[in-house]
Amino acid sequence: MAESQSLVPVAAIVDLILGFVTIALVRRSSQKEWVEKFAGLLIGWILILKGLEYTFTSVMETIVANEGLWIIDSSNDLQDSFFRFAQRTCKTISILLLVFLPFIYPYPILQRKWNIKVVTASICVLSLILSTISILTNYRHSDGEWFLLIPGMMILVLVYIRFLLMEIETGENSHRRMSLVAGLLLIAMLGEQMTYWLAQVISINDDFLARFAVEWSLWDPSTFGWLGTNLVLSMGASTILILLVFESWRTYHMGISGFSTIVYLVAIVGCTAGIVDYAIMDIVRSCVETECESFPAAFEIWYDFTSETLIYLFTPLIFMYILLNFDIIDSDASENRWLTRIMVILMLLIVSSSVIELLQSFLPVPEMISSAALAMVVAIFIGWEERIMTNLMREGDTVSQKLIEMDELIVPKIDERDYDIMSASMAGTVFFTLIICALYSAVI
Amino acid sequence: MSDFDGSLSAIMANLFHENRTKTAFIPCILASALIFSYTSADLVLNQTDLVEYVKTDKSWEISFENNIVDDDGDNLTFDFNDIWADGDVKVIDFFLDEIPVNEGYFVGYIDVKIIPEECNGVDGSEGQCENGIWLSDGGEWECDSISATLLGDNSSLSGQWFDAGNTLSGSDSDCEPIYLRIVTYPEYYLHETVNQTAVNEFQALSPWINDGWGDGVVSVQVNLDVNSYGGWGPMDDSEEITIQVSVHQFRPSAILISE
Repeated sequence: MAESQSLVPVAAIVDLILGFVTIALVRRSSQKEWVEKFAGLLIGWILILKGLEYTFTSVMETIVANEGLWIIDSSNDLQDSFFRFAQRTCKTISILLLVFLPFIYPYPILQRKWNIKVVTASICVLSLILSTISILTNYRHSDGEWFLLIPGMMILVLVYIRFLLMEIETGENSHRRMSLVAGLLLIAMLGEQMTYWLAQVISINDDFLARFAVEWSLWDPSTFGWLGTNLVLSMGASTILILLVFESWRTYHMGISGFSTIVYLVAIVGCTAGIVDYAIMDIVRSCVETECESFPAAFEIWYDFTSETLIYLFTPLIFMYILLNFDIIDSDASENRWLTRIMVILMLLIVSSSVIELLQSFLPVPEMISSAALAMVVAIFIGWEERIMTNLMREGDTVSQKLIEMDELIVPKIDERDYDIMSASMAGTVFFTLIICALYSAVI
Repeated sequence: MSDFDGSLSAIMANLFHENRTKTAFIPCILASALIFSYTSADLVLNQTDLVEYVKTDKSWEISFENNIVDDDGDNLTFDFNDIWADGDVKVIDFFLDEIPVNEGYFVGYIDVKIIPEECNGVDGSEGQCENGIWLSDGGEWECDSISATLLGDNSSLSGQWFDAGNTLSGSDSDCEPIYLRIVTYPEYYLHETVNQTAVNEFQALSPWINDGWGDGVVSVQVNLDVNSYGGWGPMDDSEEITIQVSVHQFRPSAILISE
């Protein structure tokens, strides 16, 4: 039986590949509306930043020869290392990108010709300010960044509810695409927190937070930081409950859909996780009351297969699905088609092989069997490549077409150079913040 | 001609255009706010101070309640008695897995006392030793030469074999008892209180609550060389040897002395 492997390096590769390919494809999709192009760039940069964050995490894991960040404590040299600062900085910038994405996609709240300039400038300035403050305050307040996500979450929930109710009332399928993309973005952003929904509702996540605060000596949040962490957990819990209620209502009227099934699965995982969490409360509280006892192996495996798989493997796949199915990138154009196909098959293969490896880490499956299983997956992907691509790129209105039909979107004259300026500004910001991290780690 | 101008007010008006959207959205936001409120109250009121307190080092005084493992009231754990001939070299084993260490107690050290036949260390023995001669109403005997050694290592008895407080061997030819000692529990200084810095009582006590020390066999090797005295008294060609083993157990307790 192989040892349990970390998914973080896989997530780093997947996110980085997908991010760079997305930006390349968006640059080639000149015929798309500004909403799609700007959203594509934002998603591409989110993926790149997540990829960089996971890369730095992997380096730290390698340094301490362990998995996850549980091991970061004051007894090792990572406390003041560049990698720790860089990892947290990339996380901050990716959160800021997530904060602004709902203002643009799927329902643009900002519809002016200066959109891209203002959003880009806001992200860059906030990135510099927040990452610098975080470094100087030893990340005590940095979890408070989640408060910035409140408006975006409210917008996505509002768009989801509005279009779902319109679909149920009118029976028109095109409304579903709006509620679907809003729901998918909610899962992509808060998927991890959604799998803790029951623990959050019955307020036992607080005990976990207390444990982690004691166990990880480098995580020493201020009250503002505590509240930020609790906020994102609460947003995850409430959004999955909202999705659950409205998808059930939709299923009652319109029949079950693939997205409804995903929502039910996440809800079931969260419910089971809550019960399991409650069962091990003595172990969770041991850190506060006596000394930290390790979680049972079965508990670790459960989280490897649910929350971690969702964060590291399925979140990039959800973004890929949104990019293709909602036609954010012009995948039909002949010059984009081969790149899109490579990207899709590569993503699916990486995720499939990782899941097989993960299974092998705790099931006594001989390597010969797992190799054969992987070969079968490859054969299926090659054989059904056309079908997979057709399903992923199902014909339908883009979000902007739908909104233009509804007379709820204007098409301002946006300078085409703004998209390049946005990418250049983001690259510059990432580079500059990493320089700050390197300098700070060198001087302290 | 479209009325929509892309202004924020027009966008919000569109989003909230249908009453049913408002009716569904507002309870969702209120429910979310409710979840955030009570979990935050729990977190801030119950957990943050607790975590702060837990993470702060405090000073503890560790004291030890000590006694001898004894199931028959004689204040000894083992008592061995035998008559040996001149030149005998014997190893006597005492098995510690048979002794009743109390719940919550740990074996701190083991004392071994080897008492020669003539010795005044034995209760009821009357007489005195002068220049290696034992004088009593029953006659005069020359004191025998006895040497004793605690044998073993951590594979036979888990203890602190290199502790400065150990006395692993001894000898005597003056009719005096031989005292041996092995310290079994690490950093255990024989009843002395110690100060410890730790975040809570459990962690303060954690160095002194580890099982496994003092497990195994106490092996005492005794070499006997009987000395026959040519004076008044019976002929002496054997020796009665008594070995007394006292296993000292302790129970630690911590008192908070400063936060």
